[in-house]
Amino acid sequence: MKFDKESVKKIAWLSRIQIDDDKLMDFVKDLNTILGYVQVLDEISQKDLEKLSSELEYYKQNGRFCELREDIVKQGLSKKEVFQNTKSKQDEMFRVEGSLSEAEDNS
Amino acid sequence: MNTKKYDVIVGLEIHVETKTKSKMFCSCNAEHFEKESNSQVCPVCLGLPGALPVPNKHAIELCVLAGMAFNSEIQTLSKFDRKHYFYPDLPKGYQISQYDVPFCVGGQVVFNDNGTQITVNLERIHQEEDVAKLVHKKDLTTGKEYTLIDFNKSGVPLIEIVSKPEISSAKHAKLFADKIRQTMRYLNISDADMEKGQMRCEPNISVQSKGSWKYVDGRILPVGDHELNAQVEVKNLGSISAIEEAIEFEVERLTSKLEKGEQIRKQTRGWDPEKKETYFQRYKETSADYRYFPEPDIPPVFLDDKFISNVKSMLVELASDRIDRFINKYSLSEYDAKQLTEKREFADFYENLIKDEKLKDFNQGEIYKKCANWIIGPIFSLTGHAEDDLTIKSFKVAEVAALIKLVLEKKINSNTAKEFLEKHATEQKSIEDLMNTGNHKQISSHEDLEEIAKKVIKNNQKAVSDYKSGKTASIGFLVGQMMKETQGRAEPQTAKKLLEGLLK
Repeated sequence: MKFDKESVKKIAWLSRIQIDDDKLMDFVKDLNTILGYVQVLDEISQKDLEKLSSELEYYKQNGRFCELREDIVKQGLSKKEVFQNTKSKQDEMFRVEGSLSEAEDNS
Repeated sequence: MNTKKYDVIVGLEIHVETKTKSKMFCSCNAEHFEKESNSQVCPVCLGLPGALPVPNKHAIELCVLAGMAFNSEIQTLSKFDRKHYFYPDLPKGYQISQYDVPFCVGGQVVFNDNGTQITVNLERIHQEEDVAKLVHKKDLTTGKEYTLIDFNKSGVPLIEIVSKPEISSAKHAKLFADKIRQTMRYLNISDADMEKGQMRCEPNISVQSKGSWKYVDGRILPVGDHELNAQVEVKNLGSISAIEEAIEFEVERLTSKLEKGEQIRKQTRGWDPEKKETYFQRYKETSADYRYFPEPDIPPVFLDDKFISNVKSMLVELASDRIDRFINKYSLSEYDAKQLTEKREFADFYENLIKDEKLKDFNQGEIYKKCANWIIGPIFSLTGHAEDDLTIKSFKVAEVAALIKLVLEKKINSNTAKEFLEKHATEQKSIEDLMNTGNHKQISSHEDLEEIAKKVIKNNQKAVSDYKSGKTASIGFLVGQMMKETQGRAEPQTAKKLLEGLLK
């Protein structure tokens, strides 16, 4: 695969990063260079590699799984700790710029 | 809508906040409703760099329990994935969810539409986390908009129940959601209170011309050269009835667009409950735009036999099965059985009551019916007033059994019994104490009642002559006078017979 101006524009939008049109080609070049490093793998013969159907299969073979946590409540951070790194606080909440323009709730 | 020309196709996504003590991936308190803002947060649910999420075992149990309730296939080897998007309600830049290996796959939701059994297949039920609460504001001096964020809700366990696009009407969508809500409550998976946001429903709606589509393996595919019309998702539905209203509105809107030959674009719309209208929110991102990948901070989860058998033990009989059993085993009417099984705590109360030691020497058929009547009648009418804060929990099974025993033995009459019941619930008094304070014993012997009957006849000559002249209904008035004389203790049937005898 190769990046072009359109795909870089789309990724920039998804990442909410603003890129000026005159800088777009720089990113196309850089990203294609990065992809090129990974594409080196295409040159390796995969014929003799043992097939690993999924990440899950790998864990299954190793028998190691996630430890689950018991449902016990512990006190979190104090109010002072919660807000120690923010300058914009109002009514015990974090204040950020308006985000109504696109009312999203992707949950 | 022209039902001869078009088909309605609906799929539902239902999010349910499950009832755990702590959050999904950290130990913060998960009970967030109306709590002081940002008082239940930690580095994990604030999305601070370097914080490590650890899954809550009970939350996964509840997700699997939901799957078992609907006969889903449980995937014992599963994993979490990151779903990326940028929005202030999600400071990590991604939500921890499940993509290709959810805990529960498939399953069926079965409900009843006027006697017809309807089955809707499920796509999946997966585990994820809730996002922060946003409050949108406007600066009054500058006019600039800003947003305030409270992270108490961030990280609360959330399950998503996804139906296949098999629902063919607004009414069925409502019945489907009703069934989900009832099941969540019955199994104590969630209180599923839509007003508190504990259950959220998002229908995906499309309208297709008849014959232009076919249904293959849970997907809607075009037939021949036909092009499918895009689907519309509706969000922010705050009640079960809003689901039906919003779908009806959308179907009309989409149909009239098609009739005018207009194109429909895939989009997300909101619901305005005041105007009863949907409104445009945004055009939708596609699944690839979420850039899902396996959550590297959480290794795959393996649910062993012990875990699965433990969840199975939580799977109690569901309401629909219980209705059938109540009708067959206790000979209750369908109406009574439905009333008693509406909430699990009602049904449990009933079954504990009929099994109470104090009632075992009576005719059991009579006990089944009497106990049902006492719950549906006096107890429900006492708990029906929100202002009194009485719930079924205000009543003790043993005390209600003691009360019913006194009535069956004709030691107190039903009016006194209702008084006792209310005092028991509001003042936590035992029936024995209530019996011992004041004289409540029912007077049922002829000898005791005769003197009173004579007195009542003497003092109410008008009613007596009415009765004698053929107005037999005035006997009721005379019985009432006897109840008054005895402070409600006279046994009404005996009193009536006695009066009739004396007036012959």
